[in-house]
Amino acid sequence: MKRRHSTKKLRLFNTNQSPIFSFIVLLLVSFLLMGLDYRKEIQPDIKQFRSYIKPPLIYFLNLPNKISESVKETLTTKSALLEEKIQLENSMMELSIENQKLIFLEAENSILRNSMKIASNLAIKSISAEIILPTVINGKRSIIINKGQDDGIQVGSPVINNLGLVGQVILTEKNYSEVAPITAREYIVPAILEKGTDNVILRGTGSGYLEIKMFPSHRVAKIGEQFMTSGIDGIYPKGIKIGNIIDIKPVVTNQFNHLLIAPTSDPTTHSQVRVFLGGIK
Amino acid sequence: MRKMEHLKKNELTIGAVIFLATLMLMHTSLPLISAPELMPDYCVAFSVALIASNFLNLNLLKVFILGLISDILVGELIGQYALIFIIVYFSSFIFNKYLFFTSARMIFIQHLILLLIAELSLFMTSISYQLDKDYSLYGIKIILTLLICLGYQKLFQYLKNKN
Repeated sequence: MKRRHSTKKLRLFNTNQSPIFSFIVLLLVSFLLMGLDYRKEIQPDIKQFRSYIKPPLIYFLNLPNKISESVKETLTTKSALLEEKIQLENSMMELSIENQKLIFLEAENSILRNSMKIASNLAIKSISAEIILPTVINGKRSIIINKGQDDGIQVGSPVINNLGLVGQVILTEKNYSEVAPITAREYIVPAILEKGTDNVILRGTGSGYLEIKMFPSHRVAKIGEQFMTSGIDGIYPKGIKIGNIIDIKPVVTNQFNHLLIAPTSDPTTHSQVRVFLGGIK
Repeated sequence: MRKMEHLKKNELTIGAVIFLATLMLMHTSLPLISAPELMPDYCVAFSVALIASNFLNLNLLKVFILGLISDILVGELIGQYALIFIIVYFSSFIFNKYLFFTSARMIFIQHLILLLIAELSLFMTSISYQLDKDYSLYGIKIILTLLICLGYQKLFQYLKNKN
């Protein structure tokens, strides 16, 4: 006579009770929590709370790395320093020539503005800040600067360095602020081509670049052309370098092009930034 | 009995210390790895090794709570790590039901599969909720995470044998 085995009682190597019911319940709870957080934005409040302990912790954790870098810098050879000095002298000369041109242009601009009775739109107050660390939190780049609410920094303030636009303040505390880099996925900035044509909106890709998903193909844009802030949003001053076009690909039956833009500034290469206070007047 | 309880308490303390160290590691930039896209996912590596090695005899609810704590302390979206942790736990449960992992090679494959499941869940949830993650060097990141995961596995094994 054949013996029938009950499949229900068949337990192989794991003899524990199957957690399928609790798994489904907790799966639903997780989805519910994610949906709630996404819609109601609970995480920023938690981030605000945990940001009290974050900067000192990050500072101490990254201290060995910082020390090794500073030791490396200290041990730079004399010849390298001399070479750097010559390069700096050369660039200083070039800058002084540029400066002379700018002084002339400024004077000319002022005369023209006076004659046309247009107010200057670049009356912006700014302060310099130091990047505590261009940290990496869970694989995501985050910039923390050493100036906060006490220095007049507000959420939304633009941040630049000598190479161009760095990002925008997304969180501010008493003595420090967190900056979202321009390449962050949620980042959007109105821009214009350096030749003064084509007002567009640039968006961060989240992977070190910016993009324009649909740029009309009848408009002329070449690889290497630079985008600058257009200033039409009242947040970013006009004329700050954003990045250069590095790739153009046709999309949607060749009516549009997808433009990929590499940012001109990288926060990891500079420790000092400037933060604009308040909006553009 | 008392000795067993003491051992359990000891294991829990060690587990908590390793968990805190993991959270701190997530804020640390590695000397040789400057690109953030290459930073290994310590939290995923920790969860996979912890669940696969059955170090703390965790159940699904405890794993879920651990995931929620990770979400609150280092996460981008509440519930994301909790979801990944329970998926890893359930996958591990299914594997252990039908397979018996004995050799080092089998344990390696178990960790690799669980890690891939975790990374896939992380990828899908990040895409669904438009989180700012970089996938340009994802392959290398997974390899680094696997190495960290195997490191955790060795640590848990050592601690288990010691107890």
